[in-house]
Amino acid sequence: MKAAAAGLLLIAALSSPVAAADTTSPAEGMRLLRQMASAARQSNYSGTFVYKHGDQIETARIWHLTNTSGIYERLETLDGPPLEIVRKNEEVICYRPFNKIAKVENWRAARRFPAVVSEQLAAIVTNYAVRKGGIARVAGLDCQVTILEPRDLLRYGRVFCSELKSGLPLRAKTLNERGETIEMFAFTQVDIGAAISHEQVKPRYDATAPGWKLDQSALAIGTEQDLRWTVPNQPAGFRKVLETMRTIQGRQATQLVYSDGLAAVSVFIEPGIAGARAAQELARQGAINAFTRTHAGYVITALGEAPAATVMLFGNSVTLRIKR
Amino acid sequence: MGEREVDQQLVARAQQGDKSAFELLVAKYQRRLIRLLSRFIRDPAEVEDVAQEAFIKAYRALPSFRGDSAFYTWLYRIGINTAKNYLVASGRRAPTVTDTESLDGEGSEERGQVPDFNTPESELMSRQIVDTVSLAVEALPEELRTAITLREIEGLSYEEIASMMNCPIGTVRSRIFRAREAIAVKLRPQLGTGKDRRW
Amino acid sequence: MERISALVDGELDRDEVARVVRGMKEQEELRDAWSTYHLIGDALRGERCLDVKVIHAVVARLDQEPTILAPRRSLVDSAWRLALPSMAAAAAVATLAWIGLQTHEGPPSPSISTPVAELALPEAMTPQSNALVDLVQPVYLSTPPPSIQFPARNIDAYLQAHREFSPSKTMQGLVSYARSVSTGTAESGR
Repeated sequence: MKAAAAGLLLIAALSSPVAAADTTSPAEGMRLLRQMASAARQSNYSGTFVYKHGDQIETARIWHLTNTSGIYERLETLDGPPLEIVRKNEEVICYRPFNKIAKVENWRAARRFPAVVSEQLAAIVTNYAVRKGGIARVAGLDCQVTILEPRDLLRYGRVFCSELKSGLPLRAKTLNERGETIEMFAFTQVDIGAAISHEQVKPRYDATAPGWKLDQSALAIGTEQDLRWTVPNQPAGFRKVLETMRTIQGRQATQLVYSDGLAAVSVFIEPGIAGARAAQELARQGAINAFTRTHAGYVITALGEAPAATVMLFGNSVTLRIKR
Repeated sequence: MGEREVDQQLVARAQQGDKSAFELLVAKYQRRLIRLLSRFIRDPAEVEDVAQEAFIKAYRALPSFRGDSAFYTWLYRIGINTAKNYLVASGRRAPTVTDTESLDGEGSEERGQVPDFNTPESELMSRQIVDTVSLAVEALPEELRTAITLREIEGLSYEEIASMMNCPIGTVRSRIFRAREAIAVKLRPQLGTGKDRRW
Repeated sequence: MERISALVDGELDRDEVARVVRGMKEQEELRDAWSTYHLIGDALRGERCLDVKVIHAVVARLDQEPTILAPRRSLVDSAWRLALPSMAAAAAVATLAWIGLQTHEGPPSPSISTPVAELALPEAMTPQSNALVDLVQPVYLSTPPPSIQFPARNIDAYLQAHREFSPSKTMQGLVSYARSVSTGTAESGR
């Protein structure tokens, strides 16, 4: 019943001029989502978008090209410290000219769940009620509104506005349990179907140039399990995606990742710093909540785009499997 | 019933002559008021004096409190006002509106932006309390620890916690109580409440 | 005792609240629980200034204060409220304004000043106190949200280690990376 109340608030938050459809069949909901995912992969486009969270707004430009050799994307920040993220298929490199560090990631490991879009959509429909909204206008274009209303308080709601013809999502909002928008991505200008050249999706920076360092610590993501840890009471609807050991800021950490199809929560476990006080802390930025707690000499950090209570449930449930 | 309503009920009782109801409010808000006043007054002994003064002023002004705002909002304003008067009376600069009035920055007191106005002994005692509580929480069984954390850190209602933890509300209430008592048992020896004092 | 815990959380109904509050008047153990449970909450939120015992001094002084008895709703009360018909906000400002405090701008407006003369102000509230009116317009806080402590360690590194797993990528591609980019200020300093 809480979800219903949140749903009413979500609808109220839409301010769409056309009345929202009251019922959407699950099949129709999945079709809308599938179309969005497909358009995000396959359309060629460039545009400027804003990311708003709380009182802050950041602006960036993005170029996206899909052709026979794959998917290419480049994101360039327009304010704050200059930053460029370049993607070629599953390899992503983040360039920070300020300290000349190029950080390499690979999405291969993330592909285990959801392995295919159908699996992801099935998970989404289980955890969210997908509803078709009205028509909204974003960046001068008419868009179909799709509402993903959480079925419980363990996750945030989303509202997507996808361009009518192409299906490309032009605006995405994340809403909390009170229907308030806590974060928003929105294109302010977009050119869908534009001719994008290879030049536009190549990095401006050269990681092999003198002074630049390549940070490949994220590539060491394997699938060895760290059997010491167990999370016996996972919040409902989440599935473990990955368990790996990796280096974070020079320290060895175990990372467990859970997903409900739309949101993910990572749990990091690392040895505590000797002499540090036992503490529990909660931090929040936009849709990201991070909960830290110490346990048996380890520091546990649970972080993700989910309500604080959810990350706390994860963080609190982590226990050492073997009792000393 | 809601915390705010509980405050209102305590105020109402105090307004009808029950001083002990007002004392409950003092017990609840004394630390927050001290934190607020420490932003303007350096000497911890003076801060305590001003806090005491503010509470008495609040008590005397109770007849005029109508419940349009939350009790703490009202107490906050009285606290600021008392601090200003005190500073002016002792010949010091009264803080300007911009210093005092960021109500949504209230939390900044706790964010380390405020220099340490406490005595070293008091700061140490404060930290020891935090340590004792943290260790006690860590030692709790998971369901008690989760319940108290969701309540105190995330501020969820019993109903919301019951939904998250998939258990009846009565269980949530019991878990939070048992968590508090388990922590209190470890904390009380450290607090040394005087036997001959009412608080 | 469990009811004290529920009272702290505002989860008792009205009648129970009255009963428990009466009980706390008599039993020290219950008052101690009220006090300790609030302290535990503050400690869990990592707040400072925990070692505060100003209540003892307040209680000692309260013992010497004349007992307050707020007047029940009186005709004067209603007349005053009628003078400012629909503006709850203005009413609240006026409430604060006439606790014997002077305005810098000059005499209060006539619609407020009339009832002031008829109501007995507590003696302590004499006009030489500084005005609360120089505060900007009243802001109403419901129960202030629990303060959230920002961690000493920054979460940027964890966010970066997390973003590649966020399913938002499916719908939004690299756009979703804007989340981790915006925390970048700490990193650019490294």
